[in-house]
Amino acid sequence: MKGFIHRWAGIAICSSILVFHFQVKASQNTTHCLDAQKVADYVRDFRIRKSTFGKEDLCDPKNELYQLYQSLLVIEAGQYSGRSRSKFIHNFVPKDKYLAWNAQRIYQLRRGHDIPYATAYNSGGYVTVQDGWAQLSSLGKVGTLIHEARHTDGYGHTACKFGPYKSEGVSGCDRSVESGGSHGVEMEYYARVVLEGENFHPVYQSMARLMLLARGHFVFNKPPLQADQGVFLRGVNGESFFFQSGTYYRQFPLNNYGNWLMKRGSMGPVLFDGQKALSVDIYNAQVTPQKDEFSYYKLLDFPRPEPFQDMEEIDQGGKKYLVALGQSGQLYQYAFRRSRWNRIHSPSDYLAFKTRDPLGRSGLFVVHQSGQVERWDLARRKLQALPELWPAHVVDIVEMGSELVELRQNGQLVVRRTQQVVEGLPALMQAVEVPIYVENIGRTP
Amino acid sequence: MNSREKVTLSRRQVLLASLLLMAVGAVITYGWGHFRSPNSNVSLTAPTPKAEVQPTSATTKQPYQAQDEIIESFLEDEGQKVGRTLVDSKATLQRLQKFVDIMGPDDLSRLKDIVLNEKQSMDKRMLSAYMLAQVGSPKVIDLLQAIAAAPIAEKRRKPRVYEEELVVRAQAIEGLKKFAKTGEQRSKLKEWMPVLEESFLAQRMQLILSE
Repeated sequence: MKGFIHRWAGIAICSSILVFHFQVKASQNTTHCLDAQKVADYVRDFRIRKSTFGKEDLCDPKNELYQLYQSLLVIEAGQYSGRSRSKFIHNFVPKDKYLAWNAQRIYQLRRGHDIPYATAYNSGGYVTVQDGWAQLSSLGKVGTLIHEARHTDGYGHTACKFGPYKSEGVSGCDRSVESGGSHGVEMEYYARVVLEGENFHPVYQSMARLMLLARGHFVFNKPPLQADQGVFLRGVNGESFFFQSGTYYRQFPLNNYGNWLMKRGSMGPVLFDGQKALSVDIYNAQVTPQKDEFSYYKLLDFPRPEPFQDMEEIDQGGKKYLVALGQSGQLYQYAFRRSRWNRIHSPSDYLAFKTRDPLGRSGLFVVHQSGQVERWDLARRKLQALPELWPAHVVDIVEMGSELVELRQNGQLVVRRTQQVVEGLPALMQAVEVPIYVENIGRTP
Repeated sequence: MNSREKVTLSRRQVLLASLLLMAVGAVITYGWGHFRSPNSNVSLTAPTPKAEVQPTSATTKQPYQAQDEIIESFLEDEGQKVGRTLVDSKATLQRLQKFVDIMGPDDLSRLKDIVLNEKQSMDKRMLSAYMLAQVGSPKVIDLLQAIAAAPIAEKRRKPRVYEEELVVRAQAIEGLKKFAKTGEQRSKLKEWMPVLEESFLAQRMQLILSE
């Protein structure tokens, strides 16, 4: 009797679990097959070479052709309302004609495996998507198609001046958003999805926003999300000036920080005395410099192998680096994952870090007391001596607007190209370039 | 012979019982969610919810260990919707939020694993990161930090793939925003920030902390 009850109880439990399981599965697997007629239209309008993609399955979201059709469906069915204001939206593509715009520029669409490093390429309107395309998100797949379509209009790319793709062997950047190239139209699409999109998934919209912010920093040689590099100028008597966007100066009361070095922090200027760092609020000149909690100089709070005489926070190839020069002449690089300072190279008569070499090229450089300059390749952890010496009469070289200027030992600021002295400034002791980020992608209508 | 008859009878009995109990099980299982908390309409599926998993009360949410299979199934289904249009964005957001609200610590940890698994589809990874970013409880901070600070493999540093790896981590940083306002959590986030090696991610975190 006991066994009988156990058996029945077991059967009851198993049955319940099975039924629950299959009910959940049944309700979750909402098969979403694509409309065959719609697909036929796409195949015709884009001259899709189906055989290059492999087998077609209109009911399998993992099928590559399914994903291609789905991308075209999103391009066609995306709805946008109002007119938002954004530096990314220039009406390169009429927002109600995305599909037609693409179809006019894509003469044939095929799948290839011939250029592994590319996501896709366009050869005279014949677009080939590669393995990289298949790995992308739905947003990335759509963005790539729009991007490639623009190349048919004759827009190419140029070498990246900075960012993670600077070292890539192929040209991957556009001059600016306004130039309306492939990156420009792709970013315009993302901006519309974020600011005007009506019927997109919230995750798709979130991806578009973050993609806009990420790519906005490194696919344009004139980055739309970064204002002109600001330049901080320090007078020998403590006066300080901030120069941005051509002619704008502000005076900062930094008279009590004569012995501090002004450095470029990732969130603005930083005062550094070898022991600690203070951040300067460039938007509120009356605020006394505060303990720096926002840039990587805050790592000065953690144990250090020795006192530092100079420090630099710098971005190279999309990565953040923090380097220091110890008073012993030892160079250090901070290892973020291990939270410690690593010794680099043997100690030498290093004097200071510079972020421009004697010719005005940007990067990270170490100047010896002898005037010898070494370029520090942070990714490879290598120092390479340059043929040019640091000019003895020059303190700093910075870019103001589009001009390279040099601060000379006599306190004068001189435009390199014309050798003209910048008028109206007191005798200066330091000139520092400070990146100013403005993350404003636009406003909704 | 007797023994043989006994066995045959038992099989029939089991078969009939199974059919009967499957029907009973269906009623019990399907009806359970409705009877258990009539005030709540938390649903794991859309647009026509059939299976429901609900917190014990609509007002006091208890951690509920949603079954792995339900989560997997939900992510698979919702992940496919990410790249479709004709979406009611508000309803979708509510659906995601409600699902997240009933997830327990192990479920959230599972989401983190999916986000960092390069073999999963990017839509599913992004969806998981987005869902984690919607969690209001501080228990999610460690998970979001683990995502944001996860190193990007060299093979993923090629154009576009690298950008998507950045975006999925940036989504995690978005989730940290609500904890960066004041108090001890803000201080801890400030201390943690220098582990971020990617310039873009460090900058995003800095902007959040400086707001």
